[in-house]
Amino acid sequence: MFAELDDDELLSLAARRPEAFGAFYERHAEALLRFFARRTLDPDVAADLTAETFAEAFVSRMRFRVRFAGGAVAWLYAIGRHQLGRFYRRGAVDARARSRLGIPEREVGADDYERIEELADLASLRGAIADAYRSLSAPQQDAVRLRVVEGRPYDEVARELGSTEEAARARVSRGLRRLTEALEGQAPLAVRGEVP
Amino acid sequence: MKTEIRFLQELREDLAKAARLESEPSGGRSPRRPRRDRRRVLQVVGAVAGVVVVLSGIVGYVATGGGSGSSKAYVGSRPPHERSIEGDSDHRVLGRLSPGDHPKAQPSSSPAGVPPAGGAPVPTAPPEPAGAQVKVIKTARLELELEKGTFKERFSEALRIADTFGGFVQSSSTGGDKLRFGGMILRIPVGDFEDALAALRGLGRVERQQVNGRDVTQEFVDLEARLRNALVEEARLRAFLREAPTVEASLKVNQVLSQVELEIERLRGELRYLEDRTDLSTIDLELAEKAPKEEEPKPPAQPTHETFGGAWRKAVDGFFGVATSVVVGLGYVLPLSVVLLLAGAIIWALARLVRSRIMA
Repeated sequence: MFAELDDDELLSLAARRPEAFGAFYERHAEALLRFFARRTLDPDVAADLTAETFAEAFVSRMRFRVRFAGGAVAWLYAIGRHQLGRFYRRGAVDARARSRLGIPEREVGADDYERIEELADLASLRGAIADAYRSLSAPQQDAVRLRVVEGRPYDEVARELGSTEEAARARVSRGLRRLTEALEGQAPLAVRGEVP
Repeated sequence: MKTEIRFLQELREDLAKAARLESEPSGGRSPRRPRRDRRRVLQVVGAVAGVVVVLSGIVGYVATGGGSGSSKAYVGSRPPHERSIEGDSDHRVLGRLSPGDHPKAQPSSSPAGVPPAGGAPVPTAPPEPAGAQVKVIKTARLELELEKGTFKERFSEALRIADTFGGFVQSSSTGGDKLRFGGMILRIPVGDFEDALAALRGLGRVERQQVNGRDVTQEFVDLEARLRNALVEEARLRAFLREAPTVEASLKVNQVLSQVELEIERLRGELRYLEDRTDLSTIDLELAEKAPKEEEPKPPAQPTHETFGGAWRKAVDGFFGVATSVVVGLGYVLPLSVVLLLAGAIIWALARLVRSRIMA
């Protein structure tokens, strides 16, 4: 029923017909997940960001107004970038929108891990990642290794580094950001359907 | 949904469930906040309320001047250890009269028993010289407190002070055994009165000081005038005696002359007394060693049940004191809180508006 509608029409309809938002979600969920995965290099974080972005979009859909063609997708990715920026600042993904809707925080299964990596084409980035990693400072390397590679919680990362948890989060965030910048410089993230 | 990622499928179901909840006939209520969210809200509200109460207590404590039971005992009053060195209520601060001052004239009195000369004109006394010297009797009483064991040294020092200023000790007395005390009457030249008094004050702690000055210039002038008159009368009577025609007249003149001579002596005596009192000031000095502070006997230890009762009363007083402070403080804090809340609400609404504009 919603297949004939474009994104702007779907999102506008979703204000009165919540089920229309489901159609909008199906069209853009993987792309948004890929968007986050290539910027965070962390399937867990990417999945959480995707969930929180769609939850925030669902809660705020009443305020959407079509101003130009393709505005709905741009609006969705604006919410996503806002969530991504908040993650970089705080080192954790927000969950307020999901809490408001009663959506539980879910874990990413092992199968999903591989699928997300394939989706984001993370394998092709391994060499670039290694080079980018070596370009990090020693504290950033340690922070990224402990958190991203070994999956340690931030309090353990802080203890290992001999710093506060906030400082540890900041080091991980900055390290990943530098990795992302380095990766973007070497392998443009121009994937079909993705809005830069 | 065409995706192999189970996470995305589950998320799709969660969003659909949220959509169904919105569409329910109950009017599209938003789903209930999860318990964790409600608990967080309660925590925030509790923290804010606690901060408000504490802040109110502090503000109330300051506003009530440190609690309901506090007193401002020494505000505006002199501490008990300070004593006025002015002393008695009849104290008169001595002041120097300027040479040009003319003291109030005092009624002169003629000497008693001197009959007026019969018919003969009484030569008048020559007029008093202009700008008569001021005559003031200066007296002081000074009571000093000394440290125990210093009486002898201070007493000797007082004698040296009198000698230094050209005075002398008119009389003195000492006494006491464990705590010595004594006094002396010092006669100090009037010109050095203030300096000598200041030097004597330095011997100990001034317990009391009384300084008086009596202006006797008019008395002096009057006595001198009367003396001059009496001398003139004496001279006249002697001349008359030499020329008395009869023995009877000579006896009468001689009788009057005797009275005048007595009057002259009396007047001279008064003048000498005044001169002595005005040329030399009088300082009545009292010295006394102070008793060492007696240790206040320690109160006997209160029995346990009395101590607990006192502690309970203090606790009750403290409870009501804190409650009073909090209530008073709320009167200050609540209006401010309302204003801050309003400002915060406006800022929050503006932020949401801006964010929605950005997202749109």
